[in-house]
Amino acid sequence: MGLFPFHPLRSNRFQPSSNQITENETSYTIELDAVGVAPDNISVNATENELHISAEATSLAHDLTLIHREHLSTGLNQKFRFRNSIDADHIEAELHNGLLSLKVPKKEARRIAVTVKTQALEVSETHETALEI
Amino acid sequence: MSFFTPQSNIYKSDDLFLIDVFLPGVAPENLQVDVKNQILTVQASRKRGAQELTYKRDFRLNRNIDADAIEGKLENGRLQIKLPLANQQRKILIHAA
Repeated sequence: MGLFPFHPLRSNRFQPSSNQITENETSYTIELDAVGVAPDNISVNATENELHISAEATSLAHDLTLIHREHLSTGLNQKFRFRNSIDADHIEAELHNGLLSLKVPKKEARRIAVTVKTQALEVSETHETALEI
Repeated sequence: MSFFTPQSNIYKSDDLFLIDVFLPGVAPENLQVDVKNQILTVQASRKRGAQELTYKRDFRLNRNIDADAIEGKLENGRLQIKLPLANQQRKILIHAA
């Protein structure tokens, strides 16, 4: 049946990527596919509420003829913008088995003091209304 | 149960096929590769917090592949499977009567 010897059987739910961002009260957690990326090739740049992750994929190519490609192997170039301000100085990153995980702490919200001025209320005579049933 | 279908790239030379299966976060001890009835099955898992994620994919093999000579290597999330082609020509030994 032609040159294609393989027939990758598809699952009912084809989910090729397990990249994910989650959020809890104190931090964001990001998981990215970084297969083929060497640790010293990763750069993580952070500002008040933006994160830019870039990395080159060291060559995953072979001397062989490519006949079917799904994984682009172009490395990483991702920008994230967060609703909350992030604590850029305390980002933790780990590369393990080709998975890049980042923990991005949220900046603690500043407490803004609110004062309420009370106003003296004047109380007048109350009028009782008799209810007739 | 839902699972991820790992992305795969396939290469070929005169002597073999090569499949790169991308399994980010997967350690060798959580990987299983089987061949049965011309089907190669890759199954793997990894932890995400308290959750366990599964990767699974089947490949139907061309009959020119020498199933006994298949070998694989998992390194930094990349599973490389080499599938040598069986010799097309076989010498047939004739016994003297």
